[in-house]
Amino acid sequence: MDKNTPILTADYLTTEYDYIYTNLAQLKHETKTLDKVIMIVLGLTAICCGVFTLIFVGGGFLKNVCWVLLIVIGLFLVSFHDVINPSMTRTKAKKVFNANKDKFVSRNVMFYEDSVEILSDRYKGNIPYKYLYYVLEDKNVIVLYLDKNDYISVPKRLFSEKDEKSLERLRELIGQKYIRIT
Amino acid sequence: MADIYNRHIMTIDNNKIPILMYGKAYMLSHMRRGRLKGKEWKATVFFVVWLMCMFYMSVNRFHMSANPVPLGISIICLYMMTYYLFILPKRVMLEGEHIYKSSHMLCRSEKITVTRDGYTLQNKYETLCGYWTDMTDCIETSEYFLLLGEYSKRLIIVSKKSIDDEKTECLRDFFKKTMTVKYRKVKK
Repeated sequence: MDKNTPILTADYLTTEYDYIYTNLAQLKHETKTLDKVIMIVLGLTAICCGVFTLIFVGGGFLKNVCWVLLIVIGLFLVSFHDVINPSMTRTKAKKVFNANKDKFVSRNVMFYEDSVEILSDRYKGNIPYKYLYYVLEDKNVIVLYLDKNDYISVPKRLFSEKDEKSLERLRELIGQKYIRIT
Repeated sequence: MADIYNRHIMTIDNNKIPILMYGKAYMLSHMRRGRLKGKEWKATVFFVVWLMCMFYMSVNRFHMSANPVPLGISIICLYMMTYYLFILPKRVMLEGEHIYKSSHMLCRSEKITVTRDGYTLQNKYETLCGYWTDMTDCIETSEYFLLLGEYSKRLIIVSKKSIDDEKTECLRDFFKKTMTVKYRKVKK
């Protein structure tokens, strides 16, 4: 392939869903498995203790309320990383997007053999892959991190099945910095 | 017509930002619109609560065993004061330095073109444009000018080391005139 021909091109305007998916992908990446496991173990322990004492120990009305509360806390802990935190992130992202709608401008991203070209009305960059901080991919978005704080998100809805080969090539070119999350 | 808007004011070549300057600027930006906003006020609230606890304990002649709750609250308040005034700013500054280290663009020398309506920042790999109307803050310190924009997370820093005194004066006057309400000078 010619070096000046892009492997993949994306011309898009970030929508509310794109922004939400980006936030969810970042959240997924930031959540450590150990944290998740600890929360689930603590939650299950709380639920088991609550159910056991409620059935076999019981007590007065006030005590029963405490055991039910313990079960509720357990449920909260178990579902925190998979249900509660994502839905909170979704709500927050929705709010942020609607408050800053005019700041999400159209963007043109072109992936070449050795660099990525990003064009918008206020930014023009041709960043070699080696200078990217890392790249995050989940089933909805590809997030290019220019540094720890600054990123550009490319929605995968733009790509069809035909582009899968090009995406695979891109993963090869970026190498270790390319992180796929499932 | 476009020439009027793009009327050239100044070009700053070789604007290079050292890591420490970026860390300080990042901290300053968080004091304007981030986690450090109103840290003095928050610390003052804890200081007032601490004073009240001390007063209560002094009425009870500082018997520690008789005042476990005010003692506990005063310790928490002391920690929170230290947290807001010293720990959090240091942490934010380190975060800024971490961002600087993670970027291959921030450490490069930049060319900044200042025009009547905006700026253009260029380095080897990227070009950023912005308008003064997009700016939320323009802060001058003894070492640099810091511009905070609405559209970009990127901090625009003009190091005073890269411009002479005459240009610094000219830039200060220009910012004062263009962003009257947004301009402020700080001692840090």
